[in-house]
Amino acid sequence: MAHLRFPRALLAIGLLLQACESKKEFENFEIAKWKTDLLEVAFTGASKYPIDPHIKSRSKTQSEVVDAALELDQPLIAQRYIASIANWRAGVGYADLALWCFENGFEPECRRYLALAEERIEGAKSEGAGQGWRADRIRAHVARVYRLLEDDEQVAKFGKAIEEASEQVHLSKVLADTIPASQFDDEIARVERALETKEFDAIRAALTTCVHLYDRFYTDAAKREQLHALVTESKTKLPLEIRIDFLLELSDAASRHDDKDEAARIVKSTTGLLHEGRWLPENEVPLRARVAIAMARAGDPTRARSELETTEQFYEDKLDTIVDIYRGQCLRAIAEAWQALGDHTRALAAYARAAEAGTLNPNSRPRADDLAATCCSLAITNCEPDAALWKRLEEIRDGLGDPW
Amino acid sequence: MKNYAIASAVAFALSGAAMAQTEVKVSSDIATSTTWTANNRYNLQKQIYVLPGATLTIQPGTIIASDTNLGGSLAVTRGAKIIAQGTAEQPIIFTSKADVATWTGNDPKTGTWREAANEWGNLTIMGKAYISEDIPGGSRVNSPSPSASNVGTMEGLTPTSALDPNVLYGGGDDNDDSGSLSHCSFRYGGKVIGLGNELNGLSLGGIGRGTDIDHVEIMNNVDDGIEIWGGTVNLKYVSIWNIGDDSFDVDQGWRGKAQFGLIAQGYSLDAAQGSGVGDNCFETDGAEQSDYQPVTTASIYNFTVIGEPTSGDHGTAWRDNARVHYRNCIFMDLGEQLVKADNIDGDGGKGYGFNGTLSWAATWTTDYNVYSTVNAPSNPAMFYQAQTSGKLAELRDCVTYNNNNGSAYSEATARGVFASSNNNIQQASTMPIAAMTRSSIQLKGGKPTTRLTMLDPRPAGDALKSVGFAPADGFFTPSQYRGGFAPGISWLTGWTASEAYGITPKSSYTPIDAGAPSSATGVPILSGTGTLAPNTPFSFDIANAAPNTGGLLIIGATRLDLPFFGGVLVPFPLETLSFLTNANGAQNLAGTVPASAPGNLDFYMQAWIIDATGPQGFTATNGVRATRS
Repeated sequence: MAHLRFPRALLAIGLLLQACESKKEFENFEIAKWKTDLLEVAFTGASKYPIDPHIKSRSKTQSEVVDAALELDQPLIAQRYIASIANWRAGVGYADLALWCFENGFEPECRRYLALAEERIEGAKSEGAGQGWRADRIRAHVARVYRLLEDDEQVAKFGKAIEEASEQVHLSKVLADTIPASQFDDEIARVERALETKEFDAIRAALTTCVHLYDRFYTDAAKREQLHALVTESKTKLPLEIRIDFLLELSDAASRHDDKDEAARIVKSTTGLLHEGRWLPENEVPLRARVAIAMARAGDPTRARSELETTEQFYEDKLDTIVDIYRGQCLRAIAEAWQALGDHTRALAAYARAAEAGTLNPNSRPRADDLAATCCSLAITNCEPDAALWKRLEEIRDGLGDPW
Repeated sequence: MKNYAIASAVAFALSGAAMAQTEVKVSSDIATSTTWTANNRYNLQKQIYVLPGATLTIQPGTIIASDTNLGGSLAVTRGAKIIAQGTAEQPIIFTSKADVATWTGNDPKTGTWREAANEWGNLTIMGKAYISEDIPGGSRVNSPSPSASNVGTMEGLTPTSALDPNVLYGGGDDNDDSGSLSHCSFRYGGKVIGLGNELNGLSLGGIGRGTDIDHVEIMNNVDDGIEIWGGTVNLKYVSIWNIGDDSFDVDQGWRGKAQFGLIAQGYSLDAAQGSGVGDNCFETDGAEQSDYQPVTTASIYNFTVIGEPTSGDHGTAWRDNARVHYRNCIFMDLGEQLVKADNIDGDGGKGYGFNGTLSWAATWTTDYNVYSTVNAPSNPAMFYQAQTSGKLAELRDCVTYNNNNGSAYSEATARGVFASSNNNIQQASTMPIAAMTRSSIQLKGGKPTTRLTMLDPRPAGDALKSVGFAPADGFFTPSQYRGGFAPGISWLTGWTASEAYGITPKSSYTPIDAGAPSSATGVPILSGTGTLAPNTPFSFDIANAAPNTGGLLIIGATRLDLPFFGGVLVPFPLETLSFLTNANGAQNLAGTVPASAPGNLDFYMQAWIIDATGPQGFTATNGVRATRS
């Protein structure tokens, strides 16, 4: 038998490609310039806050723009923004940037940003008469990344912060996306054990795993039914907002797999839950807008539009009871829903109203917060402002100043 | 003992005498962010609201003195902020003009205690953290499990419509930030206009942990001293005196922490108990309906609680599923019981054990991290972060003294409070504080009662050293003593009414929270004695440090506040003095102030000690500001 040697040239090319892959440049992903311009308007607006005495509000709004930059895969922009955050939130920002680096295959950068996050922990301890939760928040975000890096020593160093529910939930998503298919039954058994514990953190994390497995194994009818049952028939009584969240995620997953009937069935059960709730209008409007998005994804754009029209009318009817500083968040949710429904014109109109609503309050603090939120939302939902809205956003930004 | 001469380099002028101030009558709500400045004196003419979106900033040294009995008051609505950061040298004072009339030369650091309250309103702050009110007003009913839409209507405020947003509190953000309060003294308050009820000294509804509150004093108030409804706000350094109802009252699911407190019961008015004569020292309600969540789950360390032995009620009253840790505290002179199982609050709650919740007894034997499954949030570990060890209800490492009611300890004993593992000292043989004097018994509100006329709250006897201490979680200061004050030094110095009225002693030394703790013994303590006048003796004392090790006393003229080796370096170093601790982990650095020392001494100091049990091989004491008294 002749012995075939693997062609050396091909091997060399393969190794070269692998090397190139591992040495990909650490840079912002390519996105439309208008999106980064929006981030810039948001961040420069947030940075106009005077540090004294508004350091807490300033840093919080700045960090929300950092979150948007990372969601838009703009790590270098995020890095620049984080560097000008003047309190503990810079530590959280660096940890989140490290997470982005991990998720995108930049491990050396990941570790570098983790180190920067860790440096901020000591300073956070002395902020606000020693409100230790701020340092804990950095630790939790740092620990989450070390867990993903499988660096047990560092995870142990940052202690129980990783036990925070939000971190468990994040890990659940990662686990659900990575476990081998052969371990599906083992994972279901683990989920069932968690549901039996009546430990709510464990239950929420387990249900998050279910939702992701539901998406991943959607084409396997038996597995899909099993997971659907686990989520919807959980013996545990969860708060309404959480149950609605899980159902909308299931519905979105069904939509992604083009199973419109199933998605529609789930959305219907969600609207039932929505009507059970006792909401303040400023909380109800965003929830209803999300349901409208799910309806559209489930293949019923007509009903989705109708629901969104009704929601918008509900907002108008309740306007007098909604304090001015909460109106922007309602209108942004409506705008995001119109954009998801593909109606750019109405989305833009709603965003323009959101921008104006953000200026109703005479003080720059809520104005800056609303401006940042509107700009980030426009960028994330891929809704390019027209010239009039651009002009207005910049006017609002330039007008920020006393009184704060 | 070592002898040193103080370097004359550390001399700085103190601020001058009180300056003349212009009165500003505040008669409109604050819709536009405003700064109240120390060169004015503010007079609240009615219930003033800081409206959503606005920020009220109050400069250090500002006095808000309202017309006596007019009912001026201040409320910060949801979405508004207050930033009132006084200092030990320049506190912010909320009071009545009748109080100001007792000051000498307009100096806020003088004055005379009066039998009075109800002379102006209060400070109410409303935030957006989770609460567990059941019926917020009108026909609306909240959901029993946590929801961002669950709100309450603030006690003592008058809604202009159903769900008037200016009087609502609660929401869905436990990290909510309503601003910052520091070194604020509230005196003679509680008056409300147009309603039958009364106001607390400081009302905190749905306040999130993003809000910073430290160094707050309530002196004489007709209703409760501090009342907290839900939320997660943490409080450090609170001093509560002569409250007409409960000194520290909690409702609707507070999940915060508190450390370093003083409760001194007495009376503020000749009026019934609850409106002039003190009721409970701590009154803790779990939720408005007993099975609602969040439920009060709090952690309280290092309080000195001095009850009123003839008229006062209980040290700790428990209702509607409240779960609280009281650790490293002093409970003395209580009128009735140390632990009182009230079970319900009398306004509709069904008490412990209702609808599958834990029974009263089980609350004391169930681990802190066993979360109720009744109406639970989805993420209880996030909701309930204040307790990190032990059982849900605890009284641990405390000392009790002179609690002479026949049933003072009956319920506490039934709950196992005095089991040896809890390290409590029951009925200490000597007083656990340095000194106090009571007034003669007088009839107030039909009850024979007294008040404290002199108090040195620094620890003594069994309070000088505890077994355990608070965790080094960044909020708590690990302090190995019982009660609210470290041996030898008091945080009441400089900013309080109790000092201005001559009830607590003046001192040249103010502690600054900054130490690096030992994992074995907590934060070492630096204190001082002496007036720092020329030719007088002084003494700087280091205690609770590692034994037989070296250290440096660092002295500076200004504050640096630099994060450093697991603590905070307080002085900007000008001079260092080395020392060795003795076998007890102590050292005394003493000397005589030179005759040539300048007129106004003002400096900062802190000791750093080589200690392998410290965060990075060192421990550090608290900082101290020293100024000639």
